[in-house]
Amino acid sequence: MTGRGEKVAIVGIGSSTLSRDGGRSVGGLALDAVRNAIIDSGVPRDKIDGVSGIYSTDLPTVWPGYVVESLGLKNIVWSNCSSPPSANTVTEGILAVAAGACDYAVCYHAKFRWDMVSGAARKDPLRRAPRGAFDPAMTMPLVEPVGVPNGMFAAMQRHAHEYGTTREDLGKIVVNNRNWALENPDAVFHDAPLSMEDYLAAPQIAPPLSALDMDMPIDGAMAVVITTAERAADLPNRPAVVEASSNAITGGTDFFFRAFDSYASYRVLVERLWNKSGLTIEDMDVVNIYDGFSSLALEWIEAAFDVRGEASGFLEDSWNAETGKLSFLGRIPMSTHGGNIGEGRVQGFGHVLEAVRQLRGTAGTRQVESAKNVLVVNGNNPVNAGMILSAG
Amino acid sequence: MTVTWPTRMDHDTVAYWEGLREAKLILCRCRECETWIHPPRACCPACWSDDIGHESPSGQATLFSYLIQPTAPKQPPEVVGWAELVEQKELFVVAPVEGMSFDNVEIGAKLTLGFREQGGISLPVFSAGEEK
Repeated sequence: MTGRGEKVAIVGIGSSTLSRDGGRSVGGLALDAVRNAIIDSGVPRDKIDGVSGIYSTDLPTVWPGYVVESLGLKNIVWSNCSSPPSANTVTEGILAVAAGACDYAVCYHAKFRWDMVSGAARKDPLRRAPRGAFDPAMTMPLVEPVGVPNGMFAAMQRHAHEYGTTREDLGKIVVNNRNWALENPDAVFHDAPLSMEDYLAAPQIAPPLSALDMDMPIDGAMAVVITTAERAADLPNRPAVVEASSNAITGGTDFFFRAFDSYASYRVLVERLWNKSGLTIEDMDVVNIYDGFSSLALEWIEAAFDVRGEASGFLEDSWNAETGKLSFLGRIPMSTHGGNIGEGRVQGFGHVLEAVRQLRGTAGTRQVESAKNVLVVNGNNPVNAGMILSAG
Repeated sequence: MTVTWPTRMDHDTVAYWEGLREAKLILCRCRECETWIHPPRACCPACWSDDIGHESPSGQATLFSYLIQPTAPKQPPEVVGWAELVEQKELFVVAPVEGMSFDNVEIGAKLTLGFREQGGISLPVFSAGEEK
């Protein structure tokens, strides 16, 4: 990442527990993640001078002021409250440190099973969300008469129509992520194997998607600490250096009316990462692909590997039926933590933390030998984020 | 449950909702470059003109994509369509599609605009087939 010529790195990572019921408020979860990331980084609390979070999300969380006050951070000179997806809080922190707006930024995001998530959550009086519609495209009233349909599902229908994409294709993504989650002790699906047969037997709630195609709603928060690569040399962890980051948006950007253009944005974002870093997909050792729905991951894979409309054959070529995992180009695994589908929904933040673990060499049984470069992509149109992290 | 639409109206969408009170689909259209604009916007995305007029499209469309949307318990689900109006590529109206079974939806099918009363207003609904 070259702004003023200084490279920037992730030097600390932290997480709350990830579970269906963490027994903590959404604020408590955020504080767990932020504290753990700062402790992990080795940066003294009073040196933390930047804080970035995400609000304006479909499911509310806590803003930076809450974290600053609750954790007694006294020296904040840069703060930011970004729009989703979760990696936006990280890319903002990267920019702030690169620009010299602060020296040590902590960037967090928290997710919570609010009452609007499910019938079960509605029965819990501790899960009532702050009220207020999330409608930044100002279009929701136009689709409320038809039940606010999710344009992402219609985008998948269109993809299947144009390219012949099938449930088996999506199943490979879901089963890959669930199998990796079995190796992640923190994953919400750590103890829940899922076979391709199980996947294909699941009822299609929004055809061709089933509940298994959606990321798992959980109580969970994550955070990172970012500083310059130069300062990182004095800290205990091997830094994950940011080679490039992007938040590209193009094409139609409305969740309801024109959710069909995500791929165009993904391509702009991915091309920017390659051009800025001088790296290519061939240089990647792991790809952590956003999977809010398996269908979003499918189009991200098409963009990352430049195989538009060919996902079906590409996934088939990459599929190992014995392990139930994907291996792109014969060697690149996807989302070794289990993704949002296997680890739980922190809206793609787990993809960032897992990239750092892989680059530090601390991913346990999931470790990819000598992993040097990881691609992380996050979100969907109109909220995209991505980065390439490298072992420092 | 009686619902009155819209739940919110602003300077850009008022003409759309006023049109539906009279069972007319009124969309924004740039008077400078004739680009149709929906959802409604204050400025033309093509030429940046502020001169936004309002017109009714022909009502002819094709089904670009769809969703199977649950309705009430024990009732069959509804097909919600992204109707691509013949006036312009990717000019969508999102509305229910009638005359098409939810287990046999055909992307690319011809659609014709109609209306149905719901919550005290006439809302757009498409039916399969061309206008007779």
